[in-house]
Amino acid sequence: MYAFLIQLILCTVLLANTGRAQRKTIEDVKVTLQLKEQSLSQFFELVEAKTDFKFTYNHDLVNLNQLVTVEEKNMSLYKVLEAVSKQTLLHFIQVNENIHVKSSNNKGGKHVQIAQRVDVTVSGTVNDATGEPIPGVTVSLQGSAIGTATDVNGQYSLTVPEGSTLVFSFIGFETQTIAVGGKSIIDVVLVEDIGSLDEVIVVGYGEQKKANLTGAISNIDSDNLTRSVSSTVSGALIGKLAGVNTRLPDGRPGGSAQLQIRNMGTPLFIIDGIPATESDFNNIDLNNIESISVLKDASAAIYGLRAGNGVVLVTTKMGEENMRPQINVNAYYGLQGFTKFPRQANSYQYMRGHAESAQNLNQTTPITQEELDRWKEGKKTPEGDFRSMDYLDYMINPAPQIFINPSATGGSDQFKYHFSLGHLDQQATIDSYYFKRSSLQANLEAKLAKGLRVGTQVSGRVELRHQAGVPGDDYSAVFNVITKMWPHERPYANDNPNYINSTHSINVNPATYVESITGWNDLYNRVGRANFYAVYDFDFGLQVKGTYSYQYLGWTDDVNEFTYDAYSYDPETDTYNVVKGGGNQNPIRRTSRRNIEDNFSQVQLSYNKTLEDHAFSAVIAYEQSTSENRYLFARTVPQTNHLPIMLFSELNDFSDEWTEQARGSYIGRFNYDYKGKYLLELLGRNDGSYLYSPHSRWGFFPGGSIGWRISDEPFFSNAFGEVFSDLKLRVSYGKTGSEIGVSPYGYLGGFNWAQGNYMFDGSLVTGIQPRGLPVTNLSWVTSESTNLGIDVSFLQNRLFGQFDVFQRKVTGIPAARYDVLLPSEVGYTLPNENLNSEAILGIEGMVTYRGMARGLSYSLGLNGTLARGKSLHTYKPRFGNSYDEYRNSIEERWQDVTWGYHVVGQFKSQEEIDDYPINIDGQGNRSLLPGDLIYEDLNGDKIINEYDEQPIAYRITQSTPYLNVGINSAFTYKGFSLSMDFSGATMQSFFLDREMKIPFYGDGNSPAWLLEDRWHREDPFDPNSRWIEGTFPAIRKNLSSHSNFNRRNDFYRVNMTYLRLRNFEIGYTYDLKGINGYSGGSTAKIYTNITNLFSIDNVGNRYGIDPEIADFGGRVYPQTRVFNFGLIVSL
Amino acid sequence: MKKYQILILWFFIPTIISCDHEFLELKPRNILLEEQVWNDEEMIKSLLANYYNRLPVNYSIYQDERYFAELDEAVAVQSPESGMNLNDNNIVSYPFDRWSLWNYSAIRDINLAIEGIEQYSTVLAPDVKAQYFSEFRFLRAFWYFELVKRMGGVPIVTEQLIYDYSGEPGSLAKPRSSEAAVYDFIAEECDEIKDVIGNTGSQTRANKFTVLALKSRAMLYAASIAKYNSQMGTPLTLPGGEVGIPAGRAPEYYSLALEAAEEIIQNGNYALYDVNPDRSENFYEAIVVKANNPEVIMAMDFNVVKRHNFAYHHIPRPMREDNLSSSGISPSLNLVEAFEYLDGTPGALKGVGTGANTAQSQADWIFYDKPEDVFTDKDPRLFGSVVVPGASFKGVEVDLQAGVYVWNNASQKYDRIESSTLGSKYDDGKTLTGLGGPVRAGSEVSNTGFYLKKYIDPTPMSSARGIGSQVWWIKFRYAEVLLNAAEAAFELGGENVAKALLYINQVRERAGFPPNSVDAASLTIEKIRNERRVEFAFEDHRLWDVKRWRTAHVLWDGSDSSSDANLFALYGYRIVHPGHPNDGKYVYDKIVAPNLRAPRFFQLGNYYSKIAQSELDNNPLIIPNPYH
Repeated sequence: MYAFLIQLILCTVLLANTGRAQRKTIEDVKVTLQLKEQSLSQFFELVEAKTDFKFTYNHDLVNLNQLVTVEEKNMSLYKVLEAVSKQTLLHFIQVNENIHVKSSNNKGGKHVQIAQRVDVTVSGTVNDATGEPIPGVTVSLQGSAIGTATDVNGQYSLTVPEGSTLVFSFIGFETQTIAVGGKSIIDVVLVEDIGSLDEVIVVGYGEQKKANLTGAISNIDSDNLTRSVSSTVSGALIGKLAGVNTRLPDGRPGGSAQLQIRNMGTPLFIIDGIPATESDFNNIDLNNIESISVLKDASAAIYGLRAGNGVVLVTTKMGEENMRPQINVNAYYGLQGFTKFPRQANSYQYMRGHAESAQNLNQTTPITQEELDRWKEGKKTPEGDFRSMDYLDYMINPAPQIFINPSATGGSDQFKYHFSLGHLDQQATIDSYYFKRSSLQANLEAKLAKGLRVGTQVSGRVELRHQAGVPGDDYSAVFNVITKMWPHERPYANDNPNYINSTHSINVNPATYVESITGWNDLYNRVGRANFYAVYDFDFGLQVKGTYSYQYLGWTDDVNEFTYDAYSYDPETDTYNVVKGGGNQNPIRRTSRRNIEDNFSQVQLSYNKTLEDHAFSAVIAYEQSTSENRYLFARTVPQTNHLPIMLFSELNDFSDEWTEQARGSYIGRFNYDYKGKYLLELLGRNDGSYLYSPHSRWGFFPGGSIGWRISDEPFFSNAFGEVFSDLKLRVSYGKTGSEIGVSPYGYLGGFNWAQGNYMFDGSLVTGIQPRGLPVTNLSWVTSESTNLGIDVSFLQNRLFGQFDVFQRKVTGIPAARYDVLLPSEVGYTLPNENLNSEAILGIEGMVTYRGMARGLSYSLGLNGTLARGKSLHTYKPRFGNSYDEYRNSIEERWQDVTWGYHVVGQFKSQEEIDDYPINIDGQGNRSLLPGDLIYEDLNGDKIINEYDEQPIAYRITQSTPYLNVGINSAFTYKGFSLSMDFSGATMQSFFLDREMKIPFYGDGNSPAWLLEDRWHREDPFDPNSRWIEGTFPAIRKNLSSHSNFNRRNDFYRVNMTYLRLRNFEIGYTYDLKGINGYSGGSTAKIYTNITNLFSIDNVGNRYGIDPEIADFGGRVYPQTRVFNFGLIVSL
Repeated sequence: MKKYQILILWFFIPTIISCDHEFLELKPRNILLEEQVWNDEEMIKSLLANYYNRLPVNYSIYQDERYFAELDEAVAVQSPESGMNLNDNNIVSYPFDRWSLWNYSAIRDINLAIEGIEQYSTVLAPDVKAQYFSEFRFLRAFWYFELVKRMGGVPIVTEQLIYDYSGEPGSLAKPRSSEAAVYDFIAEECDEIKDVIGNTGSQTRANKFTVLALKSRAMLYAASIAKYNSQMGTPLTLPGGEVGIPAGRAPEYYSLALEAAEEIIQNGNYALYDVNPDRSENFYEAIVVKANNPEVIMAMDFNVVKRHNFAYHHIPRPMREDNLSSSGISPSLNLVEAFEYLDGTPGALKGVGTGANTAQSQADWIFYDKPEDVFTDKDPRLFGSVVVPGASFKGVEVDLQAGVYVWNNASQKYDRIESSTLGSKYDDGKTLTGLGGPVRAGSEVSNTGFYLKKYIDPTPMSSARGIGSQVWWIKFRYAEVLLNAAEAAFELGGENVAKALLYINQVRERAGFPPNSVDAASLTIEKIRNERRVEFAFEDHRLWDVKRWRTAHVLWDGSDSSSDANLFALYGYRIVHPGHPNDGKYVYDKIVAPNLRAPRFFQLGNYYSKIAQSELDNNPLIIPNPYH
């Protein structure tokens, strides 16, 4: 195929002719033509191809089939036209870049004219298909800034040069282009834009018309993306695409949703053709994105070795040729608050819980009933302070976010551009915590010569994640405050804000969570990327493109943790005393710096050719990328809180890392279609990766798909043409890879440097450790993807549906070959080989309906994805017995099944426990009380142990749910717009654990519901009082080893299910035409956008948690509910 | 123009087709190749550093600290930073795989080094080569000792076992050697290397006397297993002697242990640390002082770069220097009472109540003037190992008081009042609960009434997490050599008993006992064993000692009523009885440690740890240990 393609290219080159020069009039433009008895239309085509002029004519009046002969060398077009005029009796008038062709009746006079610029005034009405006038339609002169907009009656009036072309555009409608000709009144009927099949979709290494797609590719455009207010791109995608599973387990500012294609794992991200990280993807300013395509099946094979989990392609915006400058300013202000967080027990509940715990554990307690009564009363009295602190309210307060993005997009005939600046300032709901991001994007493209374009995409961003300098992961530390502070403790000694109270653990005292007390933590991510490309378009359909890209990432994490004192208040002397060991005496100054340099270069040849009903296109490319990653870490123990400069004399830890990556790839794609009816795509990639030993470094990943547009078949369209506007069947199969289970340099022996160290006679010696056996027979994991799809449209494309059934089979998952049992005494294990296999099976679908009625245009969409992993085969599985097979086999089983104990009930009384024949706790049930969990004795051996485990839950890892759904709707009426996007999910399991399971976990507080709705004795001080039923077992303080808690069981399992209104927006668009100085098409939109207005789920009311969190203790920044107020001005 | 286009193509097409891929060959920046190691002494030292660093421990100040509170020495306190957890106190029984070790990758690495030096070290001087060769063999012998004391007999592998990918690895399978054979192997290796190993005077690398100290310890273990295993009701044995050593070999092993110990005593130039006239402080310093400490034979040392957080995790609450951690290990009253009185009488504390809060339970009380009076005349090593009520540490007096007992005229007894708030005051304005507790339920505070002192760094700020502790972890010290010799000599009997008296009295005299505090009449095996218990508390000897004496299953029988299997706390109270002579005095209750959830339960199957199923699967010649 290569040879054929090259031959084709070279032969055609010889036929090619010289390029056009840019001149003003037909007198100046010289052409060379060799036409003998060719049709007039061919003459027109040739001239249009060689010059910048366009012929305009009326088909009814000009016979295009008449034959002409022109054999001229380097002759002015004027003369050529004169010659043609003689042969055809046609009349040519040059008006600007157009040549009007008219049938001429007068045989004398000048048949070829150059018209002076003449302005005409055009007016008219713009209606929709139902005859309703459409206000606010932009009417502009093509290639200029001149324009206007229709008024409330849909009418417009505009003065333009004669012979020019008008462009009518309005959101939701297909843009129409109409030549003015000599008309003075142009009435237009705009047709709704209903996802036209002519829409062009970005695919791997190119673009394709939607009608011709044969792969499973989801696509979202700028309008649908920016409908949501989201600080990250993944957040804006939630619920909008079929085949994309999402979850937002941590809502901290700057945090992003997990995104997986068909639950396959983290996909490969490609931005403007260059591989990028998930963080790069998430932090693109939404306003810079033109479109996002998601390659879900064999269509990803063109990305080869790293595309096993699918590919997300992002294309940034670019102006168009002759597009008037469009200036946009988008700004919003929002207020954020938590959706849900478990409310903790108050002092009374806390104390009562402790009294009950002592009673239940047979311990003595200093707490008395009299004290409990006072706690219940909750007042500060001379005897003591019996009030409660609610640390959730104390710590978490509504916080603002501000965003502004100015941009300019446009182009001339030589130059296209898109410039954009953006700034986001997102405060956390916690003081001293915030996220800021500033970004810029500059996309430019210039024509250097005929056919030669050069361009660049320059982008940069600075992200700052700022936190107070508290030890540990600083956000989770905040939740420690809420869950670990005792409710009767006060943040300040004697409530005097000058003195931090010495609490049971100062580390969770919120008074210290102030930057001036505890210090600060600044995490900066600075990323700059520049892509440069040059494209040369040959005349005959071949394009050559060279690209170079460089990205520099500078990541710095600076921490300064201060020392401070804590105090106790002595009421007798009215003094505040420093408590020794009460504050923080451990100052830390720490810096981590990571620099990553990525180099990428690529050459690409693409060829397109249409020969009557046959259309071909082909792409071949070579690319290579290298990456160097350097990391430095230093820590000092500073002597002062006040200055951040680090000194060698204070140095206390230091480390260095330096790694590299390199990859090279050959890429090829071939497309063919016959009449747009039978579609074929073949693609492949040969990938080489530094990870593998030189002998087995290169892998080939082919893919292919076919499509059949049944709706274009006469037999079908005759029978069903009125119902179906489009029906296409698609089948694809392809291979991709994943670089998993292999570590860099695994193929080398030798010794690892800096493995442990030891003091030899007072001096420290760095250790080296022998590496294991070299891994030479391990290769990449191969994914085979099969996809069956159907695209169907009804009602003139108003109703569109897309459904896919898919399987991704993964083979070669690393595992040990264990039919060869190596005695453990050899001291090493056999390296893994590519032995096991698994699959992901699923279905997905989406339906959209777009309609228009009496000025109301609307769209409704529904999408859903069900995808679940299954293990297929392991290498020669061996089981000692049938139980072993039942418990440990993963042959042909759904993946990620969680095993645990089934709870059949709770003990109702001590008698029931005493008589119970099954040993639940391993101690003859001595530790059990009424309310405790009764586990099912699955194997009937009268003791509960690991042999009683059974499958009790779906996947519980921090990952995406098996089933995701999205419901999208948008309505516009006159200037009003309303959109609602719901997202939902189910088939994911969550376990209440730690803080939400074990009372007083880690000696902290507990959610109020855990201490309220529990089994307990009527009187916490009378061990003989009767038991009162509750939901949760009787309280034992912080005893995770108790049989209720130490076995994962379905009593604490929740299968989370939710449907949330992720995005709600209502807006109004003003037409600025009436205001002096604004040309037509200028609008201003004001809107209110609410994120997470409500959620219908099975955990929010019961446990006070957001349904998407992944932390079993609930100690995580949940999603926020945000009220945004925004303004978009387009000039 | 045509030429121009053709040029473009001729530039691009070859670029695509003929790319060289050298750039895919990356050079690792953290891997040394074989040829860079064997002839470079510095790299061989690096290899040694790695191997010394990997020597296993059961618990230590730098690793697995939670197991300090696993036996009868201490109870765990909730202290998240240290990894100590209340649930560590809920050991219903020791799992059979507890203390299991089958780390042949370490053995393989050492064998690789031994062979590498032999084959590839071409430029090293023969004596240097021999020294490294011996040092690696010492490390291997140490590993085999660690394996045999946990698992019984293990396969003795002394060379790399290379698999040829033939699919038939059967020839690599070796059976377990007998337990005695492993001990014999250790003895032979020690004998062969002791005069070649060099490193004279080093306290961190093995030298002749380190080798002998290992031999003495190993031989003592072998001897006591030979003797006491056969005295069990049902001795632990396997047909090939994989566990259990014939009783007849006991004298031989005791002799070897004594011989090795005496060689150190006579030629080793070691002495007991004896600097500070304050006997308690002297004993504390014997462990933590590194400069000119003649007692230490081998230790794992630390410095400002290589440091640990033991002080951060376990410093007593009242003197902690960081805000996050402390007090993870709460020493038991069992240990405190094991320290004898200076007159040689057993160490049970006097005048201690039961805490039942009844008049009867209060009848035994002695009303002490000062909190520390209850410990009068105890072995000074107690105060060097444990922080007790009324003691000072790092210049701070340790305020340990659980609460007050208030006289109730109506019931004619004292009513107990406690608080969970540290440093809280009673109505009379004086202390209710001390700044150091103890409290029954609380994090990072003693719940037994004591704090750990041994191994806690005395250096200021060493308990702050950013600074850390540089105290070393002693693997062999001279006192052990003396007590090994004493035990071996006593077990051998006859004229050797005089030696036993000589050696044990040296240790006791340094501790603060009068000269010859033990004589032939009062010297019993129990006395020697108790001496080891108190001298080596928190030095990872206790478990291995009670295992080799075969007393573990008797001591820790899991019984709720056992005074050994349960761990106890000592709660001190101030008497509030205005006008009465007892007012302001101190009393003590002995209670089961409130954090303890289950008595210690050591089963016969714990003497030899479980060999994992995977090891049995991988090598059919390996047979499991008894009771598994």
